[in-house]
Amino acid sequence: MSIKVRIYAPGFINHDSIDQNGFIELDDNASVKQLFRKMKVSPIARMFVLSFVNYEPAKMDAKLKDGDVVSLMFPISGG
Amino acid sequence: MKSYSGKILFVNLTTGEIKDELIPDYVYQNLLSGVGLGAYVLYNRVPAGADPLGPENILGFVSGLLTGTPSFVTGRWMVVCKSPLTGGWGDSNCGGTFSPAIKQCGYDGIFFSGISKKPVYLFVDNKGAELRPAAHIWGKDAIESEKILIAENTKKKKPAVAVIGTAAEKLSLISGICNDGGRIAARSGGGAVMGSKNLKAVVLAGTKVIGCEDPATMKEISKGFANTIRKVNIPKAVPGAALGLLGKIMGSMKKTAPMDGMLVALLMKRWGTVSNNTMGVTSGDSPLKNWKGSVKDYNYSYYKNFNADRFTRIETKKYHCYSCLIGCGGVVDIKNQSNGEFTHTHKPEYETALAFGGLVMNKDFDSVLYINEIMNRAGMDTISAGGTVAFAIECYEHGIITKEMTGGLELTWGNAPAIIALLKMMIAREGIGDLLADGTKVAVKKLGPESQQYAVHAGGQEPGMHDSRMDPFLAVHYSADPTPGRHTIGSGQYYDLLHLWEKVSWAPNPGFYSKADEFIPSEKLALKTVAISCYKELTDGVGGCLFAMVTGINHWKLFEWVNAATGWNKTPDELMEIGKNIQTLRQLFNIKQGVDPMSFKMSPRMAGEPPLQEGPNKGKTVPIEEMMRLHWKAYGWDEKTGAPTQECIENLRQKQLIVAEAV
Repeated sequence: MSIKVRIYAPGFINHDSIDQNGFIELDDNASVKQLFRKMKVSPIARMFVLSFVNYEPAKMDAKLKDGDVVSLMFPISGG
Repeated sequence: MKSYSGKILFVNLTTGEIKDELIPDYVYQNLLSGVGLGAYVLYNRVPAGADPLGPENILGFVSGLLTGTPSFVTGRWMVVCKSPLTGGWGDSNCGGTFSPAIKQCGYDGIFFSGISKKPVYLFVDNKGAELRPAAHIWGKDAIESEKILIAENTKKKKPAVAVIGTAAEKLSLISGICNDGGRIAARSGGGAVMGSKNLKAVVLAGTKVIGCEDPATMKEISKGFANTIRKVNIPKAVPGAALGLLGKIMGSMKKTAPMDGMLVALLMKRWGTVSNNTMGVTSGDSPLKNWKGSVKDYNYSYYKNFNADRFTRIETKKYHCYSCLIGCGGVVDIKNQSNGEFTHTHKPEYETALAFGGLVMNKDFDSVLYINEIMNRAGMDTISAGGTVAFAIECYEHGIITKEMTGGLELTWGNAPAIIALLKMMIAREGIGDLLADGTKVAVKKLGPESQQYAVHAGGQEPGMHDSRMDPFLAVHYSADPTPGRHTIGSGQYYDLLHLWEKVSWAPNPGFYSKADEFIPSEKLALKTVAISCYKELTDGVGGCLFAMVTGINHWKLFEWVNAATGWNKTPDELMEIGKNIQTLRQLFNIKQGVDPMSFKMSPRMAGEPPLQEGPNKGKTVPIEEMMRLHWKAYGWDEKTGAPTQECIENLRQKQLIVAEAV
């Protein structure tokens, strides 16, 4: 069985595994770490992103479920 | 019960006549309230060729369609007028507490024409409106005046006050209108229009109920937004110093993708807009050294002084505008930074920190806090003033402004004491300050054509502190919008955050794309710039905040809120059509006033002509003219002239938004 999560990632992260609508398919019970592996996020890049699952900070071993929203932090201009 | 009253207050300052006017329902159906209502009133009533500082100009204070309803972050008010800075449509936007106060007096907007013989202020409460003498506060700064007016007029309720400072009294074309001890509707020169009318302040003490059609649905939508906003927090372990590094990574990115706008709230909740101080410099977002420098010039030894943590360390309390859950504002202690002259100031915005930091090569943190307070008190726009000071420094560097002209000031890059002294001269219109008090375009006329090359503006308005060579969408909005030079109309980043394509049929899904594509004019790109600017007009029509807007349409649900507030049941496409109506009416205002839209094209330096030799924006040039034409074409306007076509005009006429004799 597989799950689909909505992923928001900055442009320095490889987007090949994300579909046009921003979803990525993972094995059931996958963790954030497995998500990063599937996206081929390098260990160095992992140091520069903060991960949020459903808008709460998430650790690498946090389990994901179908429909979760995973957001990786990015900068924004304004003022 | 709808969320608007269908009524405006109209004050003729020449005759003293004050009257209520009813606004037909179709105006709201086609333009919302806020900036749309302002465009309707001004387009139809300000005669062609009106002197912006004369009696024929109309100054309006408008509230938003959603202000006061059970929605969130919809408490912004707007000033509308014919801008003395650009000669065309002027509007400006401010938070604080003034927006709901307009509606609590029973109005959607308050408009002024004419000129009072003596300084006055308008007082409105549930019983009515009256003009009162303001001689006792004329000459006092905005913060002091506001305190006096609140003390004089507080009975059961503390009134909300919009007031001008001394810069507007002296008709500085870069002055704004202030509220709540340091918030300012700064852009477009609205302060000078108010000053020209001898109108010192508007004091509102009404307590009328603001309704809406379906409060239960509104609350339900709001609950979802509030829950997510409360949840999202940046871990405390992340230091402000990390932002510079993050900016460096972002600046080097070749590709980008749609982003989760809710994460904007992370940065805004923790630091406010100063989160961009270092990030903007390293990413290439911040224009440096009057747009001719880069992070190689304004390097770590400079920008480290503006680390966002330095601001939060002296923050004594957080500041939330009306109905805001994010709270990007704050109050900071500046007793030490001002040698006891002031106790505190509103936390400077990024725009101010950069305008008096990187743009003028200043590394003195304390000076920026001090400048922030004197500008808030004077009511002068820090964006335009910073741009003008940077221009003056470059003119000094090239001998166009001499030491004799400055009265002995060494006007060199980063000379904080000289910058402060110059600003005080601008506020007081003394010496060289008088020449610079109206912005760069006017200064060029006085200094001569050789100074033109150092003037950075669009249509007379200095641009926001965001580099159009990094984000060409900004270039389009700086140049092609009816109010030029504004960074808040739209950017590529905003588009990627908004996710409009998920609800609006014609808005393109950007997917994962190369940033280089943004430099290639195309119809798809033009659809994106049109979509953002339409949505921004809707935001300004409902009284929404930019920082809530960019959390995206799936979080801050403008479309759904508008329908629940009014009972209209309009589709997102139909609501975006309203955004187009507003934009078209604003542009028609410019045409009526004789503005050539192409004349708003930004200064060559902003388009990378010549290109920078260093930094993240090295070698970048924006083909701005072609982008402007495609943007206008996508609006259905004439792509050569920027004028709305007869078809567009007829469309507005059929909707009764244009009164025949007004054209």
